[in-house]
Amino acid sequence: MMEHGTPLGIGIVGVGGIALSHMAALRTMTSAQLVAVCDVDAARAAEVAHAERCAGYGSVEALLADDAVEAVIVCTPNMTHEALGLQVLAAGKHLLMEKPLAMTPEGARAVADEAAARGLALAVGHSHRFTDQSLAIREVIDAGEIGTPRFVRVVMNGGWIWPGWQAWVLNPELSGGHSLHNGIHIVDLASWWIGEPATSVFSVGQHATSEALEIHDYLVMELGFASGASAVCEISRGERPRSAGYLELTVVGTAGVVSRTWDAEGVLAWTDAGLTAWDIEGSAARVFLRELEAFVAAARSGAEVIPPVSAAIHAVDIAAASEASLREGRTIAIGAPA
Amino acid sequence: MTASLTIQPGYTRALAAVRSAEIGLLRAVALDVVSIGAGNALRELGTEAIDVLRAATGPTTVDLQAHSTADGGATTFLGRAGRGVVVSAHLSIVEGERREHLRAAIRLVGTHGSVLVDLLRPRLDVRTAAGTRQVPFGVPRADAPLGDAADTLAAIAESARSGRTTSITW
Ligand SMILES: NC(=O)c1ccc[n+]([C@@H]2O[C@H](COP(=O)([O-])OP(=O)(O)OC[C@H]3O[C@@H](n4cnc5c(N)ncnc54)[C@H](O)[C@@H]3O)[C@@H](O)[C@H]2O)c1
Repeated sequence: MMEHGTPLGIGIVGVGGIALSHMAALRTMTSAQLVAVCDVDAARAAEVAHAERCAGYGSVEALLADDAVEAVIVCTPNMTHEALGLQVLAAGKHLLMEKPLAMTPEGARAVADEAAARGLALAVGHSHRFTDQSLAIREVIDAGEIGTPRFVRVVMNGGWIWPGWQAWVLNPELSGGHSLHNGIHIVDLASWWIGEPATSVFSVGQHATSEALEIHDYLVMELGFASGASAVCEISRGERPRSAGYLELTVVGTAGVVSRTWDAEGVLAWTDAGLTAWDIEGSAARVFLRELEAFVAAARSGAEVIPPVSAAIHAVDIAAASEASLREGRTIAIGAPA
Repeated sequence: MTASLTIQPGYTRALAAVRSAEIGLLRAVALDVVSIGAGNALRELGTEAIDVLRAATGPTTVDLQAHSTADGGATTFLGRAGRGVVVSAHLSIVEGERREHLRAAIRLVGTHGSVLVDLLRPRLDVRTAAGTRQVPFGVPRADAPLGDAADTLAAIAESARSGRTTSITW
């Protein structure tokens, strides 16, 4: 894959929570190397730069001016994505944007158009496409074992993990609401497994943890597809007990069913936290490693990004329509994908 | 028609948990039933599915959106029942000779916990060199009569046809 002898120089903008996963993956890679980080919290940037043995900057401009930075991973809050994405691309750097690509369908298209016009790689961090189970499900579908997929149920329910009231995620103006924040991962999976874009969405949500919440910490999105297929995508951060984690992935086809039940990894633990299914070693790390390897291949040799940009835009379309459905209490039609 | 899923022992235990608030107050119900057979999923499986759902929510009105494949082999709906309880169900039929369920599971989500019931259990897994076999265990249950759900099913079918939400009562 690598025609270049030197690793791709990566800069990370925003070194909060998710940046840690990208940095951990980069430490294990030879095809890419973390060369710089920046954060509006300059002290945080300096601390991370010291630990990672790379350059640290207090502004995006400074990071983009660093010639060692060939590609950038944007790991900042959702409302910054569109402007930062355009800025990174304008500086001539390849871009891996954390999800969502942007907070609006127009914003997503603007970033995609900029990347296309400049001939730069644009990938979006739909990390759930890279999990062991997601890839295995896709293989079962591709092998034709379950016939034509016509229903997907994705359930990713867990307890509260977000910070307190000041958290940007809880502010719909900053996160776009739960459809755009986490929902976007699972509507992308559903559309990928069904194998066609969604044409409608109907969503129902709850403020499970507190009535004062402005986003729906419990959210269920129903997608309709032109073929008559459908999907129910359920995501929650409002489950009790807080330690509860429930993952279920089911695809029903004309000839059978494939499902990843909550205990599929086969490691069940009884602890003070109750009964839990533990992840198997390395599964989370593999996700970001695969995501970054795909991005490096796109930047270095023009390989297609995963998911394709049109799918990342479509995911924004669905998520934005889902938020409209929550507001209006009706089914919202989704236009043709970009 | 008779209801075998509603009186499945794991489900009756889960319903007791709902009634006594062991999982707090009910917030959501999710049901999947996939059977081998032929024909229209809503017609073949719908009456029993409504019976299962009604057992959890009690009699209620549900504002829902349904989707069906053109051949009627699969139907899905999502809705909001009384007290904001989120209800979703998927029913589908996989063409084949053997008359049995491939999947039948219901999840009851409460304010203080959840219950997941595999409606195809209890059963043992027997694994031998010849293959894997499942053996049901427990006391066989008498089937109970099913209520009438014709109007509800007709409304669900209409929502799928029109692409619009509808209000039903079960
Ligand atoms: N793929 C996944 O599974 C996944 C998981 C979590 C978060 N995310 C996404 O990653 C992004 C970051 O989420 P997080 O949980 O790490 O957030 P976070 O709040 O933990 O970290 C964000 C960091 O960005 C910095 N920042 C904010 N604005 C900035 C700017 N304009 N320039 C430079 N730095 C800036 C903040 O100071 C902070 O350090 C979000 O878009 C989120 O949706 C993706």
